[in-house]
Amino acid sequence: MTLLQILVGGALAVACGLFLHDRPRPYLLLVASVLAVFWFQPALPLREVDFWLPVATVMLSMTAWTLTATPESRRERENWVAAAIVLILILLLGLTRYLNVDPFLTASRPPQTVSIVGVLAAFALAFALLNRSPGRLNRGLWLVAAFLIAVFIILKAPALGTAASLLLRLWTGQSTTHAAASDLQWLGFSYIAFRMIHTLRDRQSGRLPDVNLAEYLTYIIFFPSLTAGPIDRIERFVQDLRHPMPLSQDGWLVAGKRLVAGLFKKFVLADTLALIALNATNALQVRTAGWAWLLLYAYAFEIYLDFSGYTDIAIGLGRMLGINLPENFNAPYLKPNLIQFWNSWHMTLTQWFRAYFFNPLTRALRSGRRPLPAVATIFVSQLSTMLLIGLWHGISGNFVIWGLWHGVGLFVNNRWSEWTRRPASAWAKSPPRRNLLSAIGVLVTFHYVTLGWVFFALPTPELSLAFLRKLVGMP
Amino acid sequence: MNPDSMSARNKGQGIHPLRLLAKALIVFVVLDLGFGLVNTSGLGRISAYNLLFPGRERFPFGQEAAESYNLSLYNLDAMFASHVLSAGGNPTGEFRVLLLGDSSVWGTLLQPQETLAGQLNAEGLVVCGKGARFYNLGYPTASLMKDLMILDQAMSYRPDLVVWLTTLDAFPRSAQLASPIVANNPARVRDLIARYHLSLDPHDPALVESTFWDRTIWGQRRDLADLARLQVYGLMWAATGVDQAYPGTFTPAQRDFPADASYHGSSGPTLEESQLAFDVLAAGQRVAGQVPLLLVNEPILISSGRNSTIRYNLSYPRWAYDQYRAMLGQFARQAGWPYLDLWNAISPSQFTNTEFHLTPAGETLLAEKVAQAIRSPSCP
Amino acid sequence: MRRLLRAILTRENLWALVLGLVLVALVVLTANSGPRWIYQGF
Repeated sequence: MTLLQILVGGALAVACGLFLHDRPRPYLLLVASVLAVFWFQPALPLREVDFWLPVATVMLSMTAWTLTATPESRRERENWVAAAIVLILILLLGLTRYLNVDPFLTASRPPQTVSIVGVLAAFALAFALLNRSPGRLNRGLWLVAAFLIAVFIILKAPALGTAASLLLRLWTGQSTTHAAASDLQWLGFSYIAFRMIHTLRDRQSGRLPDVNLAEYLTYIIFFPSLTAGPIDRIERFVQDLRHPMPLSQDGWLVAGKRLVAGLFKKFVLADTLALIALNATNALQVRTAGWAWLLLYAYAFEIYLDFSGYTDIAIGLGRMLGINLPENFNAPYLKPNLIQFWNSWHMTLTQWFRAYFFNPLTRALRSGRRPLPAVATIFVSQLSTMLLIGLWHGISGNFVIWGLWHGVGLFVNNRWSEWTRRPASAWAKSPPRRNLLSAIGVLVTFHYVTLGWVFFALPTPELSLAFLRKLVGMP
Repeated sequence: MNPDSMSARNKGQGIHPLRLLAKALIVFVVLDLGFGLVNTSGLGRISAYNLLFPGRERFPFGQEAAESYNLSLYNLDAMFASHVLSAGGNPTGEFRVLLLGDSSVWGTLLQPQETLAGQLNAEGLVVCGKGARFYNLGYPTASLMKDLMILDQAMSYRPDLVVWLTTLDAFPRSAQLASPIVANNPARVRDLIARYHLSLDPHDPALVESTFWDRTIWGQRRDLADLARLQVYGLMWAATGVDQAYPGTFTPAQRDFPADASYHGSSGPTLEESQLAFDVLAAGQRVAGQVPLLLVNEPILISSGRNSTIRYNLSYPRWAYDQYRAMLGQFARQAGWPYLDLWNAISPSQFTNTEFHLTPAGETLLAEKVAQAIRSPSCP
Repeated sequence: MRRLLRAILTRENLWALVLGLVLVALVVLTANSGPRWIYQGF
């Protein structure tokens, strides 16, 4: 989100909080979120794709709702109204093509109206048919989940992304010479995918509450958390949506403070640190070990301030709109071990992976026909979870190494805690000793995480190794 | 952050959100307007260069900030404060030489050590019994007024010698205020015009005047941001020694030209001396005072390509440049300035992307010639 | 004098000052960072 987008969101939140009553509020949030999906989408070199990707986001979300909703709720009038509002909104956005101004709500000039009408009509028909289906649509749940994962892999794997860009360029009639994976920036897809998969899986396990289309859509594309999370749970989100707490003066102060803190962390601190943070270019230019460490520290703090700043902004805006988004960070660099670090860094992501991968995998490994021993189970589960989290950031060698770095670190932490628990508590009887142990733990954990950032910041293992050598003063 | 504890702290403390916001806006407006009222001209002198990290070997300049860790700004105080020249005092035993000039002196496409100043420093010259230290005060754009402005500020650093490299394109009156760094320092320009009675219009529309609103925080936000970013980029300068983005390839300077003999709208045959800012050049001698000033006509690319009988290079038709050379030589003789005419000292193969920018080898040759001239000055 | 200071230096006023300064920092540091001018020649 740019500063302007955040300010507009804030103004909307203030207006909503001060002037709007409960009934129109969910629809206002829905409309704002649909508009935001188009407004936040960056312009792409692929003609018109930056319009169709937001359309795909909305249609995918509506389809996912259809698959997760009960047959009874699918037929309710309010859902048809919500669907009509959303589709008409997309059509109106398409009609901005005829305004004689630079595009301001869409990334670029929208496509021909006849194409938009055609696509919307086809989708509306399919949507109507699907919704009129009498039974549950369980088979579709796996299909959509598989589709989301497939799209995710295409977006994250450079070779597949380039191939997709090539195909799209052929479709739009553009030159394929400069096809690149970076052509396909689908705003917020990762987070949208996580939210959708959460609802699909919870529907399968019978845990999903009954939500209408407006509520579901608003949850999936809620504009404060669209670009960088946090990843909320639908049951919690919808509860806030249905029963918003009117903000008291203190509530406004808390929300406002959070928003301002986020703005400061992101636009003042993080963006300044970005000027000196480690990257692929300066990694080779830096001349001494001391300066190399400075660049790395700058990266470590930049990534924290940038991400947690965005989270603060999302939480602040959310609170103003009556939605208490979950926390994502809890002073992660002050944690004395890696396990606690991962319980404090991007918490909603780790909770998601714990719920939908780690726990099911652990249960499967422990309860199969030949159950794995506990230690091996922990090793496999932690390593594979962190590997997946690494791949979620990007399908490349460096993200694999980063995932393994943390997976191994977590396992070693787990074993070390197990082995040293008794001697440590025997030694650390006094507060000064406990503080000393904690301080050492914080320093070691921070530096372990920071060294891991080398693989995160740099694009290739070779460059990462070369930089690691610089850190210890080797040529 | 626990909203409940925040709530408990605020209870009874009487912080009203709208009132808080209103007061904050008032604070902002007061600071904003107050900034416009006070004299903030000295802000550029606050610098972490030469304090937390070394000064730059040349003035900050750059268009690709992310690659060069450098940027262009108009604040001369900040430019000098970030330069290694401001490292403090005049160390005993240092024969301080300032090099003035345009982008060829600044060193486009050259690393700091490959520039004229860098190469001269590498020679380890001893002048008047002291080790000579050369400071690169070149800056892109050709304008005698730009050089004069820089020289005027540089004299406070007590140089022992000033070497002023120049070329014809720095002389036309129309070029004097066209340099962005000149245009955006109208007060300095007007002061120099008044002090030395220069034939330039102190109210020339090219001079960027600032209103009160331009001087507020909002109006100056870009300038203030640049000051802050210059400090942060200083860390990258210290860490990497990089201060310029070097392209992988560049287009070599043109050697074939159209059959066009014009120069600044005139086809000759006479180059009007009145249209050249010799008064600005003369003012330089007065600014330098007792400090010796060596004038150098810098090398240019002399092409032998198509229509090279008409033009030496893309910038200079022969008729104009030959007359300029004669005028400059006569000026130096009459003013008693030591003068070095190096116009044809460097072979065409040693030029890079323009008819003025040299390769490192070209700069080495140039440095040798300048060093010869410097080796035997009149020592005090 | 003390009473005046106490009246001025309330929590609300101090937070207003902090917020005002944050606004200044935001206004300055989000200023455009594109090149001021493009070097065309020398």
